[in-house]
Amino acid sequence: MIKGRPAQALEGENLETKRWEDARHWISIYADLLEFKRGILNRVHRDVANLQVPAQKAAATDLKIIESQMQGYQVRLDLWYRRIWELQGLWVDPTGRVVRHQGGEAALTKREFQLLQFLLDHPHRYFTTSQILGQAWADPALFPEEVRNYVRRLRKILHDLGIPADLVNKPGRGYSLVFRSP
Amino acid sequence: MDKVKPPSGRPDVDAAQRGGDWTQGMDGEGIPGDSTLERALYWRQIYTEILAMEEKVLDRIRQLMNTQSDEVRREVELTNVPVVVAQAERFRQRLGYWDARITQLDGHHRKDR
Repeated sequence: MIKGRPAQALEGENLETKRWEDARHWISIYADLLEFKRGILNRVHRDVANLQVPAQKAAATDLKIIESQMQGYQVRLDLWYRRIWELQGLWVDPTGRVVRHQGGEAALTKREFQLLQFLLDHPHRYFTTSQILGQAWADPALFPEEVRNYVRRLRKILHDLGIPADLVNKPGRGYSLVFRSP
Repeated sequence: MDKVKPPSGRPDVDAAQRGGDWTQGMDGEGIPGDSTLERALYWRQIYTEILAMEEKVLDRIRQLMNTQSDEVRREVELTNVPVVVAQAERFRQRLGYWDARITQLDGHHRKDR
């Protein structure tokens, strides 16, 4: 099984591109591929559950292959997100906890920075309050209100620096950093 | 297998080709030629069900592909379709072995009566 390694680049894909539009294009391709495979995976999972045990084991091959492909696409999607940030002129300095974007700069508190870094590392994925507490801050003992408080603060920072991304909240799914077109 | 394909440079595609090895049975399947009628009927049922599932999945993939961009369609053609086609072909072959065994055993059974 292939775990966590990038899928091979698709035909015409060039991570060195200087064009924002190319990056957006490939992000949408990988997002579509992931959505497509997710749909197939769910379908296979549902159908496999109705099979007898030996057949379930045999069908597990399909599931493993699809899952490994999805992991590869996710890695490439993340590479493209990092590239789009570079092209957008976003610079994040973990040492000084500073964010710079197109001439603007903001110094962040430790928790603000951890949350921003976490969301930048996992763009377009949704995280519940408890996932943010556990994964972004490694402190599940904090109150959920803290997440809402820091989300508010981060939204202001994104707005003040003109970073083309929204920190959205979807009921039942949680928070996600979503890009806007420039 | 009737032919051996060279490695494609795509581990997922290679895995799909491996998945299509017709000699590969399921866990506990045994050799059709040594099987009783009861076992043969059991394995025919298993292969009939899994083959039906693979065919439904393939239909769904092809249906969904129509709405995708060229890039996504190409990638799915290269990755998902061969996986499912190879698996389905393998199951179809295995089903054929069990069908043949049932015909053989059924013939003996009738002769004995």
